[in-house]
Amino acid sequence: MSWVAAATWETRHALRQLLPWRWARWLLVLLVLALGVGLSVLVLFIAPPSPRPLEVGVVAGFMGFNLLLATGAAGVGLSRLVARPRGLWLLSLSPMGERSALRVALAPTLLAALCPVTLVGLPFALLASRVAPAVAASMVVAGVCALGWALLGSVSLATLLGQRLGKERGARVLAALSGWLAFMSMMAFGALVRLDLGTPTLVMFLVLTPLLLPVLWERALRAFLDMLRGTETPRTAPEPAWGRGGWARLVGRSSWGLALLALVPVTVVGYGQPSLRRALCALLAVQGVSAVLELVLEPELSMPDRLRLAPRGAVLRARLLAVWGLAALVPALALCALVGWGRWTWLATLAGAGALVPFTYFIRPRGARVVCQLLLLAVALAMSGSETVVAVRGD
Amino acid sequence: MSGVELSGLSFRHGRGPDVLDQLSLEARPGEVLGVLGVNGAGKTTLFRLIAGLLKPRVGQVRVGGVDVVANRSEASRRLGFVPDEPLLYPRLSALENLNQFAVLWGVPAAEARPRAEALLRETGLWEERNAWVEGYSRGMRQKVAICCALLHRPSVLVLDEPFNGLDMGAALWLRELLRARASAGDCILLSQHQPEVFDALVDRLAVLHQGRVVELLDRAEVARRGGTGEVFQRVRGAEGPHAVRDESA
Repeated sequence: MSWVAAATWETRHALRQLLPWRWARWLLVLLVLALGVGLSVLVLFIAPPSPRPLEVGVVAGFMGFNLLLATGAAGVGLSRLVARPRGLWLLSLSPMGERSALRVALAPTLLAALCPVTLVGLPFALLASRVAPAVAASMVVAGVCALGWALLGSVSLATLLGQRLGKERGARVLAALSGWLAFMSMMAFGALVRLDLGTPTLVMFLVLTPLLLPVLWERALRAFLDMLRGTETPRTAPEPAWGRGGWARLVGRSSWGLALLALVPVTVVGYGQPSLRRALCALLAVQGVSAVLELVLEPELSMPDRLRLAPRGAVLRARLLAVWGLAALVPALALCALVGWGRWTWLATLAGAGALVPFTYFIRPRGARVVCQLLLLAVALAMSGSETVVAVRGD
Repeated sequence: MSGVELSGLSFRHGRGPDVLDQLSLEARPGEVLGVLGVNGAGKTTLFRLIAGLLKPRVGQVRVGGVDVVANRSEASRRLGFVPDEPLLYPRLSALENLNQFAVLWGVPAAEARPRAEALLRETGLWEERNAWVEGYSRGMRQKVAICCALLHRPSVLVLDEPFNGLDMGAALWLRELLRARASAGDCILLSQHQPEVFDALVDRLAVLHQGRVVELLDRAEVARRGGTGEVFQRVRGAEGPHAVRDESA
């Protein structure tokens, strides 16, 4: 089996696992393309090529943006491999050997990192090449260098998290952190491109990359392989509280809790923007409740036979939904009341939508359940939109 | 107390062909009934129907005298089910899993604790009782799954390939346990692919083929035909070209 064929197969397999439907894969490609073209146009608007030519500072800013976005995207791709290294071990059994197998297994990660660099960087470079061909060429080179550093960064982060938290937990934290890094770099796009790092920084980056990256990459790859190969010390639990269910303990042991906590600063920042407040309230009342319930019910949703089989399964599930649903809804509604005290119709709609979320968990097929939750969110958002319009007119 | 009664049972997945076709079978209290069949014969589907995880298209399933479809909750109290894939919580320890199953099956804490401790000592898992199950080997997980199924002291045990992954000591323990439970009047249904397990354990053997019970043999009859292995070979022979190819190889 040739390297290229193996890497192509691995990448296609990863893509199909991520998005099993062909139309969804095409939709993703179109979305990324649209994003690339949109961002390129935005950059040209921020730093117009005429009357003055493109500055090197813009290139450095773009390189920084690519670096962060690619690190985030690569981390998301890499988290799959860290969580389930079985595919890698299967490849290792082939005559290609362990190290080559690792390189093949990293192919989807490379693709994930390459996507933003290519689809965001190349259209801009093409647009820029009309007015400043040298700058555009240096941008492509810098983009490739940024890709190398992004891969190194994500592999090193994955190694660190895998060593500290264990492979499965580490993979989840890596996915959450990388997702947020990618999201935040997109949000900070304008600021990053405007950040004038100067010619020396860019030149130093271009010179140091071929000197340092290969050496560091080899070391990072070795450490990553050692982490994947290593056995983990078994984790232990204290004596159970007999007669009481262990769902709260399971929530504490899930790393999705960390991902939920990562939402807090974004929410705080969002509430600082008056135009976003009501929409955020709607999100918090519906998606906040469903996120908490997903977290609590994760073990049961992944293995539904257990509650179906248990004589008290239905009662306990209803109790879990009521207790945890209420625990998530009350603070969300308190925040909504602070934002829109006196707007009773809006508050009642959000309370109703939030209170209906736990009932969606009685729908067994996941697709239908998510559609119902999206409908509730749409109602809450529509109400928040109309209320904002009323408030603006009132002002 | 009656065991498991299946009468005129038919089942199909969606609009596909019948996986079980007018199947009738009775497992009596105090006996170990082995269910034998090739892959895809319908053994797991049959066990899931008995557990109430699937609803029959036609027919009736009674566990301990209780209709599973009409009163699933009561039937579940009388049933201990070990599926082919253990229904454990990977991020709970063995002891925590047993506590969780006690809560789910409504076993009072005062009874659950000594039972759980006794079961873990018997299976040799006592030293690892506080380790998360996700770090266990396949055999250790199977032992915990069996302990969870036994915790509420069911009168009917349905075990889908329970010996898979068990070491020799645990396999002997399970064999002794199942014989002891049958002697005490419990009804036990199990499937397994190793013929020697059936030879040593079962009182009667039901041979499942294309969704029907084609043979129901007692221990003496199985022995007269040369053991479970020979009975199985005959079923495979009925499969046609596949079996012929195997034999010629």
